[in-house]
Amino acid sequence: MDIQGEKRMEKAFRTRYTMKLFYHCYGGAHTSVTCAAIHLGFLPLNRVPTPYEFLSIPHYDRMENEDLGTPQYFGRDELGIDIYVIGLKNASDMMIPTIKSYLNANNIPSKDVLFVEALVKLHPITAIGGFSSRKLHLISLGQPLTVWGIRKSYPIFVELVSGVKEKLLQGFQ
Amino acid sequence: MKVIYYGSAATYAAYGMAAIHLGVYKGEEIPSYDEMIGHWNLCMVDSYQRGNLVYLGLDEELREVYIIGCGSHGRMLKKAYKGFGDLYKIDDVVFYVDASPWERGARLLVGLTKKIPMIEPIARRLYIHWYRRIYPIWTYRVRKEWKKLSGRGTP
Repeated sequence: MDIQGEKRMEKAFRTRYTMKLFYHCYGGAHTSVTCAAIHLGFLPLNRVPTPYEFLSIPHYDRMENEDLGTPQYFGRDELGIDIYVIGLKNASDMMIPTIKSYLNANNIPSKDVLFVEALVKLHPITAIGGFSSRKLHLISLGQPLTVWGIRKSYPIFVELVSGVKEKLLQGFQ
Repeated sequence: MKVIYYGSAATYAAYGMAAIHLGVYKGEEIPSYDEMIGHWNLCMVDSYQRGNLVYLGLDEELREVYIIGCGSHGRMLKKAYKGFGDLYKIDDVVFYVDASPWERGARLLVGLTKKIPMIEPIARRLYIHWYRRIYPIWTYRVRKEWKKLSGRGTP
């Protein structure tokens, strides 16, 4: 391999290494965590997981209101991309440019930071469960409702994550 | 070090206070009529902008001064900046100044004028009246924040 090829490889590796993907939703506790878990293989692609599988995911139904806006590390995928979850309330349209402009102000290229909205076609039961669990702290009532709602719309999350992974793979090729 | 003035929109009190901080507006004297109208026009044109961290300049002690509009999500903004700062190992200290309590008059008048453009002449006069009253409070707040900052220095 010539020097230019080596440089290209190094650049690709560096880009890979530094790339971070953030799944965001309202509270950063349910849908974004589900998407991140699917992305990293903690949840299966070919069937709807059991409620116990959901409850065993790290960070599931854990994010407190005070932590909204704080990214939570979830793991590193097979492409070397760091996966995070973050709760941005209903202000993702404002918060994403806010974060990117802060990174730009600190000379960090914002193109290496990817945000994926995980709040697609949210089942109303999930929203009610999330509100009960996180806002009202009625965990024993809210948590099963969130799981029920997410199980109902699980194929949508699988489709979303598969699309994201496909695009990431295309980007690296 | 970065000093970030934030409010519901960047152009209301955040801009005014940052301008005092940087010495663009002289703290003691109320800005001229033209400057106040200039600020009104800025609010009318750019107040919808949220989420852009705008660099205004360096202050006397070489701190970078920024403004940002973040709606009512100031707490989340701080959390996000802290979180991403830790993530990317940004060691630059950020000092936040919440300007939102001193922007209500402008927010109300600009918001109303955008909905009912025909009231602009009255709204503008009310704005000037409000501005003359709020300006000394901005100056006082900026001085107070400056005192808090002065012990910190630059990293």
